[in-house]
Amino acid sequence: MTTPKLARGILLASTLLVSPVLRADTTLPLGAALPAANAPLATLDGKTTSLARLVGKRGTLVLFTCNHCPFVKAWEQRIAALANRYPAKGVGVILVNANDPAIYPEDDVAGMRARAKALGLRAPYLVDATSNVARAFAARVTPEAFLFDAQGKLAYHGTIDDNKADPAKVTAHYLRDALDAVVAGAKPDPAETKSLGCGIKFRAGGG
Amino acid sequence: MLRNVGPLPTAAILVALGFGVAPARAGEDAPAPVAADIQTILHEVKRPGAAAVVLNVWATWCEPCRKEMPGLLRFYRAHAKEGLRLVLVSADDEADRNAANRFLESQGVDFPTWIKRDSDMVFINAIDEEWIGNLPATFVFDGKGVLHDRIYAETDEAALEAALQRLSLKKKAPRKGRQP
Repeated sequence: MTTPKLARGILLASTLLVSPVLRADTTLPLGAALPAANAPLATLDGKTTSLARLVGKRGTLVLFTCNHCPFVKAWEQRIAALANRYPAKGVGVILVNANDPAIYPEDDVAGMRARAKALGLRAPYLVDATSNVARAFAARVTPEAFLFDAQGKLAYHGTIDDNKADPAKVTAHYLRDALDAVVAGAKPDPAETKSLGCGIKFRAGGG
Repeated sequence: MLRNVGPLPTAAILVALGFGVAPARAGEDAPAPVAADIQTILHEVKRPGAAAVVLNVWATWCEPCRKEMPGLLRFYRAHAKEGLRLVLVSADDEADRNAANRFLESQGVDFPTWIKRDSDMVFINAIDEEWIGNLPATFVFDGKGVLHDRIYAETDEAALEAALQRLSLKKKAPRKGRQP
């Protein structure tokens, strides 16, 4: 179809006035060091801690999660089981909620306490009160796991397993296998996985 | 980033992209979302006849997805006759197809839509390898099915207009020798 001259002219003029900028979202690369290691994170009893205080000798798992997301709810029993199991193997496990409870009230501290209690969670479930820790990780979704090896380098990034809906039908235990690899001093394979999930509801004013 | 100029009429943009008026599908019966693999969905994206294609991945459980849908549909309905195609893909489980259909009906959707069938990783990477999988997500393709822009968050009409503007600029740039 022939492009009308008028439309061409309008478009040509627009190229002089409008600056096209496309930004690819960044992703924390494998091998990266633990970001925001000393940034403050709030515990559920109102104290302040940081990722640096919670690293493990054999590895560190930082998992961005929340209370309201249906995907998190589908996986939360499995997440809690991993979070309770791997500290005994030398892996520091930290669950981080970066969501703004003004958007999802269920994601407030009271909701976090309730979920932690209901799940029997023994690993710390921390509040990223500015969402800046999530920003430093370039985290975008819940649940999203970042597993660092004994040298503090990112060894695995991604999801929990390949079947959120039915634990009995899981054929690839991505995060569990990655944890076992890191504990054994090996490289996880696959090192990067994905699943659909809820976008992190970042708090305004951070960055 | 757009400078502070008024947006071009979308009709002008679409026509300038080299496409004329495409027949709208409005008025057809509202079909239930069709379970499809990603190749079928991408075939719909690349099907000839569109000046630009917006692919939106949504789910009934996703509140921002439901919230953005009216604006997305207003944008589509305003520009469908100019060659804009909207491909809606539900990320709900197939078992929840009825719930997805009820939502689409509540929004007055009167064109074919899809519900994903592939595993998440296959689905995500086939659409956009940069996408981590967070919903909602909206992707803007040119009429040949080449991905030009993505919105990994709740979108609105202004953001979609801006994405279409960027698409028009990228299409024009090679002719002016400003991009390789």
